[in-house]
Amino acid sequence: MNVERDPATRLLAAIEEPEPPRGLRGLALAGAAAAGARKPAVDAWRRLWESRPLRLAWAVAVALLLAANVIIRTGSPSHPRTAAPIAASKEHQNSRELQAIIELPRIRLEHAGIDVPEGRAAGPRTPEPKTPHHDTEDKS
Amino acid sequence: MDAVAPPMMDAAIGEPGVACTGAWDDVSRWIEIFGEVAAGRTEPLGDLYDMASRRLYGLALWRTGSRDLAAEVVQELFIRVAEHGERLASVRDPRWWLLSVTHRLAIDAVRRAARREAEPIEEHGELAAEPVDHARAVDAQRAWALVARLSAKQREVIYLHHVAEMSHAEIGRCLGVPAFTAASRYRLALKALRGMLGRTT
Repeated sequence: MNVERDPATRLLAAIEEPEPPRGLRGLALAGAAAAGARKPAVDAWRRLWESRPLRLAWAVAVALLLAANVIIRTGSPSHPRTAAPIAASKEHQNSRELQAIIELPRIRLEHAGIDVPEGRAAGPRTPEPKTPHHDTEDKS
Repeated sequence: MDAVAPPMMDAAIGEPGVACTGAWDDVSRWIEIFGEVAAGRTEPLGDLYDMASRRLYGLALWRTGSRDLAAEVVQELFIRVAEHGERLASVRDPRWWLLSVTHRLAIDAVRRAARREAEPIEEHGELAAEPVDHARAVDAQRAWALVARLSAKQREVIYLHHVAEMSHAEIGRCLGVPAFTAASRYRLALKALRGMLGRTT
């Protein structure tokens, strides 16, 4: 479409850039000057890095932590027994009990009604577990 | 249509120094000003205002539809410029940077003011500068009445293309959208305007 003949473009050509209101210049520049004069916010890490006492305190804290770590690791035997070995021995006892529970008597497959191949049936026999039924027989 | 002096060349009314087309096109001057502000000087901000305020205020006004909001946007923009400090030195083209920031600030301003009932923009005859020629003034008034019915996005592209004389690629760069989107938005706006013109004539 011919731009010159297009009524919409012809109308739009009549619009001019608006004039900013009086006084806006002063307000805008005053705001900018105030913003420029404000000190930029300093984050915590920068403050920590730039302050000598804080830097020193940080270094001392790190040194103390390291020293404490070394002392604990190379502690003398005269020191009272800590909770860790006690917990370890208890854990050992518990593990034995667990082992006994896990090692259940073997089920004889032929008694369970399962066809067993010849080779497997000839295997070593495990002792039969005592059942309440045997107990009653013994008493009689 | 009668020839009228380009809007940017009009004398300022009670305001020192007004942007002119030449000043807008001279990128080196903008970079120089940004460099000075980045170095901590605030005096060049006056020059920056004189060079940019009219275009930036116009963009904010067309986007927000409110003189008060547009003035707020321009003020906020200058605060942002001052706060940016040293980082301004790394801005490649200050013109697009300023237009983009104005665009974003205008969107924020509209969102903030969403609860307030906005005044209908048709009522502000002075949203566009008053042309000296009577016939042109009538055209401008009529055009403004139609443009006011467009969406803010469409108004914005119409302003940037027709009033600020920017290409679609430049508009896209300014608004942060692809040039194709800017062109399509402009075509839709123009189509809507033609439709409205067809109904009114």
